[in-house]
Amino acid sequence: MSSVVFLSSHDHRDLKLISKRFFPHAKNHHMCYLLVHEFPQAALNFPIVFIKDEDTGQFKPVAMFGFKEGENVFYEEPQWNSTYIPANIRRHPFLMSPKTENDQDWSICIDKDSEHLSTIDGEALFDSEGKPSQQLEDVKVFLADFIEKDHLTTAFTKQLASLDLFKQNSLVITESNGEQVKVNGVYSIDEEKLNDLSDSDFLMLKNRGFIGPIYTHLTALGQMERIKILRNLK
Amino acid sequence: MEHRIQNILVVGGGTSGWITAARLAKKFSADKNSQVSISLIESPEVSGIGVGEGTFPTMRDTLQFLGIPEAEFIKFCNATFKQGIKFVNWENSPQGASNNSYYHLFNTPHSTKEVELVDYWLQGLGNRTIPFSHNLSEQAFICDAGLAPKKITTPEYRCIANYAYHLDAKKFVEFLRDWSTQKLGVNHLIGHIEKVNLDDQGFIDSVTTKDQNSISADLFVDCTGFSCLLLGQALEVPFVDKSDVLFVDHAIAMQVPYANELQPIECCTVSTAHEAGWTWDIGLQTRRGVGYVYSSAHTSHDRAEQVLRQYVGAQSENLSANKIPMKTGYREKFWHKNCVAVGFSAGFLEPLESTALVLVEAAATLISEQFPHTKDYLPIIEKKFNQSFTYRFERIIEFVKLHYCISKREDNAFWIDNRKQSSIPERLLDNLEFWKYKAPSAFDFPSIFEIFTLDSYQWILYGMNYHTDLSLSGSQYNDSKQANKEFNKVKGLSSALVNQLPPHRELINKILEFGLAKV
Repeated sequence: MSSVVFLSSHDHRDLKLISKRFFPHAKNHHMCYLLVHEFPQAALNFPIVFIKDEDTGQFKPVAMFGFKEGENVFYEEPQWNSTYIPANIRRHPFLMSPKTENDQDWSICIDKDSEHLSTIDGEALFDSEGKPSQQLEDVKVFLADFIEKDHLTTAFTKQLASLDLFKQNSLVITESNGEQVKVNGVYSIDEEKLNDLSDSDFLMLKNRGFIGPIYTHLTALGQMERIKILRNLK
Repeated sequence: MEHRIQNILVVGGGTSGWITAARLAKKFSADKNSQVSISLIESPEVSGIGVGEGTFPTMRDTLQFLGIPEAEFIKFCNATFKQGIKFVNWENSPQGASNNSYYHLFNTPHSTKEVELVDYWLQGLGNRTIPFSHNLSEQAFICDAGLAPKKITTPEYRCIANYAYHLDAKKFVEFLRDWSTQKLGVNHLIGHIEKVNLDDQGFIDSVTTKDQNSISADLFVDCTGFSCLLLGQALEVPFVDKSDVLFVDHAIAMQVPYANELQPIECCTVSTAHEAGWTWDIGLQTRRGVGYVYSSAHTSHDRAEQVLRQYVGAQSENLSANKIPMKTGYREKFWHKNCVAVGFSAGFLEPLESTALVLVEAAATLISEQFPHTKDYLPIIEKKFNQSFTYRFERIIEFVKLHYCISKREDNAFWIDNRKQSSIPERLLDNLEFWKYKAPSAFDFPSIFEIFTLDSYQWILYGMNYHTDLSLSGSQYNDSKQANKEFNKVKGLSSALVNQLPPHRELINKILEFGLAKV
């Protein structure tokens, strides 16, 4: 289990971020949240689909690494065998969280049990006076950028949902014992509905910069075949 | 040349008027060849009844048919989910502070093709330490726990447990009006009708408003409520009084705010029996709607208000109560010549099973699906419609009466009079006699347009412990092994869903914030 706490120069003065990071914490994840900006790189490796957030019911894009919980065909000990790793995995062991409920100020948190943190090896997060190191400043920039892109990703999926462009994906996989299993809860953009959009709606999508990611997603659906091949090799 | 029916005038701007206008407009906007246009005229001087806050699950189909996003409806109409009715103290008077209760759930009792599980319950199977409803449906546990019938990830109008709505009737009228005029092209007129003009064959030719506008149409829909302006007053179709079967004739209602915004919202309409009638208790998002429906022959108006205030408790002290007279019965004909009555103009029955809106939905559907495109078809649809709705009213009256006549309450003449044979419709008497030694079955409900079918009867009869002795037909029920398996399925599903579903208010709050997905 991860144990997430607010990062403090007092409690974590000695903490170091190790330099070679392989993100094994996600080795059993079968999907990962994806920012819309990452679609092009992700599409070269993984299927990109949409799932519903359990808590809000809102659609969110994910990269798929496997067809069922615990299955990740893209991780081979000790590392990922993909050309790209999603930002939501790379941010590990850091994340941003509001200090208190309804707080506008976001602060950095860490998973203090992460294998990427050490008190011996790596780059220090704070200098001897307790001021953030360059390493930590880079992390801050990364997280701020992540949050901004996350907002745009939400706007993207909200727009698609309000145009009623999603359909439930009918994905059936064959297990090694020959059993056919239906994968539920996976959504994709319905090309038919996309083509039926009015000219003005389509133009609006173009002007918001959403046409690119839509077609990237549709193309990346073909990567389902890659997962099928890789799981047969395992 | 044949006389086409192309202009429809709906008279009355209440819930019935707008549902009918919307349904017709939606139907004919999709069919460009029909050239049917829908207008609705509303009097600036008449205000709606404003109760009728519970619906049937059919309302989901109606709203979806009209193209309404469910979350928008829920937001605007202060709506919540209704999973059935909880009947309190209907079987017996309360023993001191101890109430007795049972559920009429919207889920059907669990059964399979091979095993009608209710019948095995009647044979003594199932877990006898928990009630009938809890053996037959997971929904009883969901309601006990105050949980929603779906999750935030469940698409709009889809369910995990079957549901209808509780809604603010006044808001609902506004919502339907805006949707009908802005999205469905209903022509909205304002005018108080003073005169209904008939032609020499007795058809309605036009109506004249107070400001001397004359509006003609080919078909008139009378949604004028109790006044029944067109069908009753102008066409003189008589009213068939049914107060000799169903005794309640008044309601007194109040709106009760929640103590705070975290107070749980009930999952069912709570119907509590009292000395001379019953109270409804409906939880909306921001308030409860509570009312006492009573028989003025069995109690006084003052006493009725006292009963209502006692039920609400200390909170009622600063709240005003609104008295509404009611007239139980229905028109001898609902469709006459070129006029059809929908809503309270067609008939009124006490709201015990929330049948007002479902009858409106059914009438609006029948009119639009069986629409008489020429005048020649009017006499045929008139016959069909009248047959169909007389049947429905009679069946609903029997079903409502059932609640009273299998009660064991003795505390007031109201309950004793309700069990007098002379007050019980013959078909119901026959069925009750029959069900003493035969399980109710699909054979007892032959029409596909039945509003209350087998499952509703099962929930009421056995919720109230009606005694059906199956010893003579016991050999029919020889698969108790399978039946026990099915009882266990309900048990398993119950504990799974109670862990998965969110509290009712939590889901409503999430819907207000995030909406519901279409898929």
